[in-house]
Amino acid sequence: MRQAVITGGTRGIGRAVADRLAAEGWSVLTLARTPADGPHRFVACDVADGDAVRRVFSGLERIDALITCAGIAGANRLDGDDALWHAIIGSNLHGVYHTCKAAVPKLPDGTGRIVNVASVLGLRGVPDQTAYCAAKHGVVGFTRALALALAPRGITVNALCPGWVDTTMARQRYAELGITAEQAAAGVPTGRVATAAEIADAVVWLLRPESRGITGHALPIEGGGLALP
Amino acid sequence: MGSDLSFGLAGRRAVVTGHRGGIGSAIYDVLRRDGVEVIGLDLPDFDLAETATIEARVQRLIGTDPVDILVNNAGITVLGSVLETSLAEAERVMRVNFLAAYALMRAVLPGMMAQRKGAIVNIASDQALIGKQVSAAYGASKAAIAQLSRSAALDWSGHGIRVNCIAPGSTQTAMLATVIGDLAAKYPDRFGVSSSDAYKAATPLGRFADPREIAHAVAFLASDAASFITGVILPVDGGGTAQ
Repeated sequence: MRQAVITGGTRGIGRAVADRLAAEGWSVLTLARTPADGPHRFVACDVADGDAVRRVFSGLERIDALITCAGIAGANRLDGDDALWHAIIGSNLHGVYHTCKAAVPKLPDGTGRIVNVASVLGLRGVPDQTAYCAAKHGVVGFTRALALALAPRGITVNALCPGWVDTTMARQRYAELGITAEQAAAGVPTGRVATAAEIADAVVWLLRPESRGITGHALPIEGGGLALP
Repeated sequence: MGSDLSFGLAGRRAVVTGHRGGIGSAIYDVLRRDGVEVIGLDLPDFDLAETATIEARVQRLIGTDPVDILVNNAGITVLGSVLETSLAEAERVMRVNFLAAYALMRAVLPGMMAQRKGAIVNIASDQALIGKQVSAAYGASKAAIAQLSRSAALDWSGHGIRVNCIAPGSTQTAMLATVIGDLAAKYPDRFGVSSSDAYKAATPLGRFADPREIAHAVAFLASDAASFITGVILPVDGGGTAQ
């Protein structure tokens, strides 16, 4: 049975990925800071903490796929304190670094897969989320570099760049922006936001054997928004 | 590789151009195996360079039933810089690689609009994203179809129609073998190596794509698993453009 480790696997996109992979016959291990109700194997782990990540991964024998979904969001003000900046960079960028670094020695040559869930904000900026944009751009750059580093082993590394996805995190962001879900949907060319299951669909596809030629890329899943000016 | 894959496309109807070529025949096979009715358009019976009559000819072929999937795959190459490629040669490349796709979109979009559902997948090239030497007309034609994909994605997003583009890197086909041989023959000082090994070594994954790997990406983008993906240019290039 193939083993998948999913960070942030208890909620939102991570949970949808865990559900889909379990349904496809994968053995799923979810990591998150706090447990949540769910059928999947769970280990508490703050991915921003490199020691904690190493402890968890040292107990794993083999990993066929790592899917990094853990992340936090928030508007960080440049005239405020630095705590939120460091928290967002810690979870969203350092967390990807720590988990990928720990997983790489356990991934099988030829078939190993890493999928980093970045964001459309890894490809473009918004004014009030400098930390989130910096972290997600960092994940895209890290993905491209790691893909080249692991290409000789036949391991693929890709990023997914979702726009609005119907999750608790997005609803918190709507509130922060003072917009309704309908207004968010109206800003997407397709007129709706993505479901978490649609992001999971793309993960499943990247894990299939016939996607082995795709590496080092950042695939937007945002209903055409990036094609806008 | 992946012969038991299903993309859930059974019962759908597709038009695929260039279905007798290397990548095209793989697309044809993968869609057919998934239960798609595929209408192939290719030489000798369908000349995509005759762009003025494409719409009328295609409408006769597809009849009144809508087309669910359009794959603009047909393409021709011509090697050369601007001064080495005549206007007539460049025009022919643009006709087959770009205008034919444009005409086919005009032919199938009304039916897709009527059923409020459709997926268009255009096959460009890594040359839609990066420049290559002595590929003036070909590279420009592939950048054109990539940008058309993004623009059309926005125009038809409100009608349930998705438009995406795949940018394949070097793919193991007869066309690629011809290009590698011609480069070495025409430009021995710049492309002295006619062995494909040197080209493979320049790809991070160290090999060319199998045509079926491109075909599977087409099937994914055409399927409901990609229901929120539109206006993207997806490289399937073994990491070539990530460098």
